[in-house]
Amino acid sequence: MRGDPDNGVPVAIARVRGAFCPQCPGSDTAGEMFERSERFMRRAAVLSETGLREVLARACQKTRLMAPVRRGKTSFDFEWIDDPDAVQMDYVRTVLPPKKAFLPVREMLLEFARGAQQAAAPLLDDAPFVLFGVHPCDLTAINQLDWAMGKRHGVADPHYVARRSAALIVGIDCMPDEYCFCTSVDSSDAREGADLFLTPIDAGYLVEVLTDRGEQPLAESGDGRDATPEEEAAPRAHGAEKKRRVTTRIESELEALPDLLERRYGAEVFEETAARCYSCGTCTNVCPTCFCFDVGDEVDLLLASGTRERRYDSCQFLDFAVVAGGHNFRGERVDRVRHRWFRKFVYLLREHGAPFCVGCGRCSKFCTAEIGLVDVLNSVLAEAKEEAVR
Amino acid sequence: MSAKPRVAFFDFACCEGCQLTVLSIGEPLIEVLKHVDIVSWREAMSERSDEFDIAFVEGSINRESDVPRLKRIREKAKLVVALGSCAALGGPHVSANRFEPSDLLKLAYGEKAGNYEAGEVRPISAEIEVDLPIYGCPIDANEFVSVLKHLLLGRPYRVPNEAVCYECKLNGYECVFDKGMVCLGPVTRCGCNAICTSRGHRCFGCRGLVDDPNVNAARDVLEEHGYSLDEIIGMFQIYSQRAPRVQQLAEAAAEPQEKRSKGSEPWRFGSTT
Ligand code: SF4
Ligand code: SF4
Ligand code: SF4
Ligand code: SF4
Ligand code: SF4
Repeated sequence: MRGDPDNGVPVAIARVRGAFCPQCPGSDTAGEMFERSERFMRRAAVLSETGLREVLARACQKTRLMAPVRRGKTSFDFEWIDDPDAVQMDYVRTVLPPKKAFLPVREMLLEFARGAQQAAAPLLDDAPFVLFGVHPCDLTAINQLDWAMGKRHGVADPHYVARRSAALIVGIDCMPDEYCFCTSVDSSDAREGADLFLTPIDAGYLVEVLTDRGEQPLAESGDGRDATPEEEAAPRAHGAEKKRRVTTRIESELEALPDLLERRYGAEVFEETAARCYSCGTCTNVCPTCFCFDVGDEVDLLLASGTRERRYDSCQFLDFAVVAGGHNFRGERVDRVRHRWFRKFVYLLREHGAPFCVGCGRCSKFCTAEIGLVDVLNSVLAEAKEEAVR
Repeated sequence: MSAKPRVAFFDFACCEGCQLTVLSIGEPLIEVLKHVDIVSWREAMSERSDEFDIAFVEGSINRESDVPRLKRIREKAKLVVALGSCAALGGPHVSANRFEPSDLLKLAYGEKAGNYEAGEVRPISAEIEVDLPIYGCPIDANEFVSVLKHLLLGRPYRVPNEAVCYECKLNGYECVFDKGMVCLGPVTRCGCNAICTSRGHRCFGCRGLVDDPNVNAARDVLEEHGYSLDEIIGMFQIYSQRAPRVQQLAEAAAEPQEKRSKGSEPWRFGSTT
């Protein structure tokens, strides 16, 4: 089975991956890894809580497991874990999104030797792992990153693709808080990208098996049974209840956003936001769809060899847009502030056809200046509408 | 004469914590020091020489009598590195600048005050040109090693210019604001890997402010969290008393009202809200 070309990553990445880097495994292997052409439920099973913990325990032993864990009184984060009991099934949002499974916050790209015979060996991590507990908004974001890192401009990032192809992704449904607005950006009931998707039910979890790869953990567990017709209806009911509970909304159709925003390029609210913004970069570093990075070299203690590291960067940082010669084309804070909204709802929306925002609410929740993404957006929209009336 | 770069360490007014950090690096330090000759280091060795290429200068200047010595170091060295926030920013004792030096001497030494000298506390950059600052109180050991490697390879070192929030978030730490505390991380220069917030403490701003810090935003946010303007200025003054935006804040605050009660009480380490 091959990936569906309209389905984003699979075929494209597989092809480019082989071509991009001769040291990667061949494109055939990559293609097989991306067997997830069927977007809709293949079948539904039921796993008890114990059965699920067993599946996770096996994931820890056989491969590796990244899953949400509690980090503090109110915060959670995805971590590589050995202890399946540490997995937090029920959480609103993690500090960092699961993109760090594919795009680690700090990542070694290659090793090099200094001196006459410079040699560089790319470091590709394609060891299989299970990424557990991904909410629909974050699943949507993974699909967008697949496009950005794997397909955009016809180039694929081999480091991203290696990790991405190695992942078995288990999604899980959630309930929103006041920061979530997945219903405004069409991500509340996403399944694409997941191999398995869980919805909590009385008997434990209703498991939607979405891909071939998703069958394996269930087959090994032996705990699963087929779902009854009532149980099969659970995801739909859960999804509907979730939609009812979302309170934050973007006051516009998505398609209208680019033009409306562009009309209000000089909106007052960007100035007001800039007066309060630290340029600390938190809003983008915690964003599941942001993918800007910086690359730097570090040599070893003998000054003989070294490593090249990539780490998250942010368009909000003062130095982000400094180019050769020293010119900074977004040296003013207000320009950096505006850029965040324009990037998500104008430039990439036009290019990709969907906003580069999945409504997870992280940027607003974790901004210590309490700058709300939707509040600012709605203020700009209100200005635009007022102008239209005049 | 050896071809290795000659390195010397010097100290002025400080606690020597930054030199201690260097000494505590251990094995990695020994490895990288194989590429240099240490010719002068009062805290670590007895021999000394006046011939050196790279001078690491720790401590701030607060006595006029120290200035000629500092200037001699500058004349001899090809590169002067300010080692730690005392040398780079003035250090925690810049907060002394809010008082009359003679009053402080009296407070500290009583009748013997006349035997001592004190003046405005300032970073070494107030007197000489500095090639590279290493911020931190104390410095971060890894950053020191990295700086040394860059100098040895002749590559420019980029002083981190992101906020502490950057490293804090990359590590996935719980924000102390979520625990009802406040934090100077959003305007403080990173490079420490958010070591304080990793332990549940707030950032005290020991690495100084980022370039173009939004100090007014910090003032607004901290006021919303229940701090008075004087307390906020006190928080900033511990390390960034000399930063222009903090001075503007202090000047604006000093204008209208009579004597301010809390202004004399600096924001203390260890207070928990
Ligand atoms: S998190 Fe908030 S303060 Fe920081 S850069 Fe983003 S909007 Fe500005
Ligand atoms: S912009 Fe904010 S709400 Fe949207 S995906 Fe990014 S972090 Fe989530
Ligand atoms: S910067 Fe801090 S640790 Fe370093 S010498 Fe000064 S007071 Fe001591
Ligand atoms: S704890 Fe401090 S440094 Fe960390 S994110 Fe919060 S404000 Fe920023
Ligand atoms: S967190 Fe703040 S106070 Fe602590 S070491 Fe870093 S800069 Fe200094």
